[in-house]
Amino acid sequence: MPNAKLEIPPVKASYPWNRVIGGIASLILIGFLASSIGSVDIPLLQSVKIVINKLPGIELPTSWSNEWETILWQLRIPRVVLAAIVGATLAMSGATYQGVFRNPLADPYLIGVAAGAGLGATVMLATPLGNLMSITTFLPIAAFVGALLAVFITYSVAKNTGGLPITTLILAGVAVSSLMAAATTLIMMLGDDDLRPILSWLLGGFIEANWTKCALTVIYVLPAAALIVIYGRVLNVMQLEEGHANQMGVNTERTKFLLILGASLATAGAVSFSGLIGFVGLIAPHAVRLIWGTDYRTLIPMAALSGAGILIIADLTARTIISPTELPVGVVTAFFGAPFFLYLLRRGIRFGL
Amino acid sequence: MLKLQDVRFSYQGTDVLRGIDIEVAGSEVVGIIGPNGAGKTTLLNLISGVIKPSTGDVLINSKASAEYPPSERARLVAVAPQTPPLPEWYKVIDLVLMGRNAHLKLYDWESKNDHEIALNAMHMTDTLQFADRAITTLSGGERQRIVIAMAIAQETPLILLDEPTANLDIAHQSKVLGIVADTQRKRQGSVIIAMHDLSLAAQYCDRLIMLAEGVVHADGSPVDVLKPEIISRAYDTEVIVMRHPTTGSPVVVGVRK
Repeated sequence: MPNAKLEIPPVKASYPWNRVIGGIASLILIGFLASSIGSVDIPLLQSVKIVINKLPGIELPTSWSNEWETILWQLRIPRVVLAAIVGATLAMSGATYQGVFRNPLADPYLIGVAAGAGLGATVMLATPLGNLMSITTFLPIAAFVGALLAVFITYSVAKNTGGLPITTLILAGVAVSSLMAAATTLIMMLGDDDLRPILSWLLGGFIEANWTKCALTVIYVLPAAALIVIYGRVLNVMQLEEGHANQMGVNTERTKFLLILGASLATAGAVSFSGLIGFVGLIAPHAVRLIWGTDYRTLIPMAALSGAGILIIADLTARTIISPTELPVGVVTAFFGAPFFLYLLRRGIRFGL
Repeated sequence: MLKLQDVRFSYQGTDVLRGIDIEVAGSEVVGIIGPNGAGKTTLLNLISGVIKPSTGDVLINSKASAEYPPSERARLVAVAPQTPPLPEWYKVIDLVLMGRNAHLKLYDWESKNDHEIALNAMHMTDTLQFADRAITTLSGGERQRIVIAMAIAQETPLILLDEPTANLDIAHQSKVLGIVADTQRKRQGSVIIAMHDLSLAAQYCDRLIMLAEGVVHADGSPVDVLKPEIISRAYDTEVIVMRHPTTGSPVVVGVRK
C-alpha cells in the first residue's frame, strides 16, 4: 500500500459564507459605481451618503442637491437593484437548468423558457384577460404558466429522442422559442390596442424600473431561490446517470419536477419585469465553475451574485455607451453571450469547461 | 432480507426473465452467473428497484423494492453499476461522498464522520491516493473502483455489484472482491455480484446462481453449480472443470475448438 504522505482534502462542512459575503460586498461596490455614472455624474461618496441617509434612524448633514437625491433614489438605484435581482435570477435559473438537464448549454433564454414567459405575459397584457386583474401583480403568474408550457415541450421532445441530448435540448429550445415568439407576435397584432408598451417590454430593459417592480420580483424569486439553494447537495448527486442517482437515494423525478418548477417561477418573475434578456444564465454559472468548481452548493449562490454584477454592468453599458440613446440591455448581453456560447460549442461541450 | 417470487420481466415484447425465485437471508456472498443476455443486469436493476417486475414480487424486508422511497431503499441496498457515466470535473472524494446521500437530510452537509466513512471506503478500494483528483484523469479500472467505493460508503446490508472486475487487473480483482465480501460479512450483510468469470466467482462466493434463458438454471454452492454438464447446457459450449491447487475451488476453462 502506498500509504506515505497522502494529500487528504480538508472537510468542507459548512456553507461558503466567506465567498458569499465577499461577493455581496463586491456587488454593493459595483452597484454604487453604476449608480453614480450617467448623464448627471454624482460623486461616489455622495451616492453612498444619500443611500445611508435613507436608512431608518440615520440623519446625515445634507451636502447634496435634491436633484441628485431624486435621480439616485427614484431612478438609478431602483434600476441597479432590479438589474441585480434579474441578473441573479437568470444566473441561478441557468445553473439549475444546467444541473437538472445535465446540460452545460441550458439557459432560460436558449431552452425557450423566457420566450414562453413572454408569451404568457403578452396574453395577459394584450387581451381582455388583463383588464380583469391588477396587471403588474399577476403578470408573473401568466408568465409562469407560459414558462412551464415551454419547458415542458422542450424537455419532453429532448427526452424522447435519445441520441445527442445535449444538442437536442438546445435545438428543441430554438424551435419552442420561435413558436412562442410567433404566437406572441400574432396576439399582439390581433389586439388593436396600443402596442408600444408590449414592444418596449419585449425588447427587455430596466428603463422603467421602480421600487414596486423590485419588490414584486423578489416576491416571486425568493421562494424559488430558497428551494434551489436547499437542493444544492442533491443537485450534485443528480449529475450521476439518473438510475445511479436514484440508487444513491435521490427521488430523481420529484427533484427534477421541483427544481424545474422553481427555476421557471424565478425566470417568470424576472421576465415579467425586465423582458427577454439572454445569455446571463449561461455566462455567470460557467465563469463560477471555472473559478470555484462544480459543487452546486457554491455554484448556485456565487452564480447568482455574478449574474447580478454582470447585468448591472451590462445595463450601465446599455444606457451610457451611445448616450443619450439607450440600447436594449439584451443587445449588450447578446454581444458577449453569443460568442461565449459559440466558444462553449467549439470547445467541445463539457461540464466545467 | 431479499426474496424474489416468480419474477417475470419483459422489455419491448421480449421475455428477459421468465419466473425467478431467489431468497437471500442472513449473510451471504452470492454470485450471479450466466451467458450474455441471461438477464443478470436486469435482475440487479429489479432488486435495486429502478425497474419494476412485469409480474411477481421483489421483496426487501417483506416490502416491494420499487415501493420504497428512494432514500429509504438506498439505506438498505447499494449498487455499483457496470461502468456508469461519471460527471467530469468532480473530485474523486466528492463522488465517494455522494454515497452518503441517503444518510443525509436535504440541507445537511457531510459531517466529519461521513468523510471518515468515505475515506475508509477509498482506502479499501485502493483509491485514496486519487482523492483530490478529477474523474477525467482516471483510467477505466480506477473509475470502477471509485464506483465500488461509492457503494461501500453507502453502508447498506445489501450491496449489488455489476461486473465489478471487468476492467480490473488481477491484483485489484482479488483485492476488491475480497474486501467487499469481508466488509459485508462483518456487517452481517450480503453481496450479490453479477460476473462472467466463473473461476473468480467460485473463489469469492458462498453461493452461485446460474441464470440461463431467463430462469434459474442452477443454484447452490460453487462446487454444486460449476459442474461441466450444467455449464455446458447453460452456455452451449464444452468446458473442463478443475480444482484450484490451493483453495480447492472449481476452476473452469474453455475447450479450444
